[in-house]
Amino acid sequence: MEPYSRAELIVSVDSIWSVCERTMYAFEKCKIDNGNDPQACLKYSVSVAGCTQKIMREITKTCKPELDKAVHCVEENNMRTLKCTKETEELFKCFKTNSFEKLVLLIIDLYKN
Amino acid sequence: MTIDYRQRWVQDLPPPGGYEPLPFGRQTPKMVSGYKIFAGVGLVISIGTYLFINQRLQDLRNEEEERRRLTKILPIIQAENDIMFLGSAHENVYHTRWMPPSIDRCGAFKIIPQSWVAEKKQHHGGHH
Repeated sequence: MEPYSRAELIVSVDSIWSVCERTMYAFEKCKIDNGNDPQACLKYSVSVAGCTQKIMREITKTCKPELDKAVHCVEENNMRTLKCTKETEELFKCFKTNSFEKLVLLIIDLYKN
Repeated sequence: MTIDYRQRWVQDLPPPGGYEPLPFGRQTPKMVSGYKIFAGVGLVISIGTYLFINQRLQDLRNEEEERRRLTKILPIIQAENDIMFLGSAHENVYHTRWMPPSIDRCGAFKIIPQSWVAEKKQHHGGHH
């Protein structure tokens, strides 16, 4: 599991949520139901972390320049994303055009198996 | 340049009709009404207050948006932290519980004959 910085995560949050939204909601629901016990929601934690890792790996592989630009912008603006809407939108567009459909097919395969 | 020394002397005299009267009286600027000044200051203050409150509201809205975006990465961080926590050696491997500290009673029973003590030690050691 590679650690990703807060800037990287917050910049690519749209890309992550476009794929992992249901996973996140399931994780949050489990957390609400079972309290703060990490053992109870381990399945959901693993799925959330894995989904995020996969998408971040995909982004770093295909949209590296856009990601670097957006991360630089966010880090220069005191970790505020409102001033970097242009960069984040470019990153999301790059992710959508290059990797989204591939990932969706992959996830459909995973659900089938 | 040549100077004609043969010219007649001419005295400087005021222009015909005399000079204009000198403005030696007290000169005051044109007065603005106090009410107008009051109204202008009130206008400036109200405009400034309006701009300030507008900016403040915009900042608060921006903060809220930033916090909303931050909440979107919280489940990711929570999940990774949970996995790291479960993978770490957080469990107590000794399975012990707290006990009161034992009192050092060396020399408390000096009146007991040392032979007894030795006997007890031997007896105790014999079992093990």
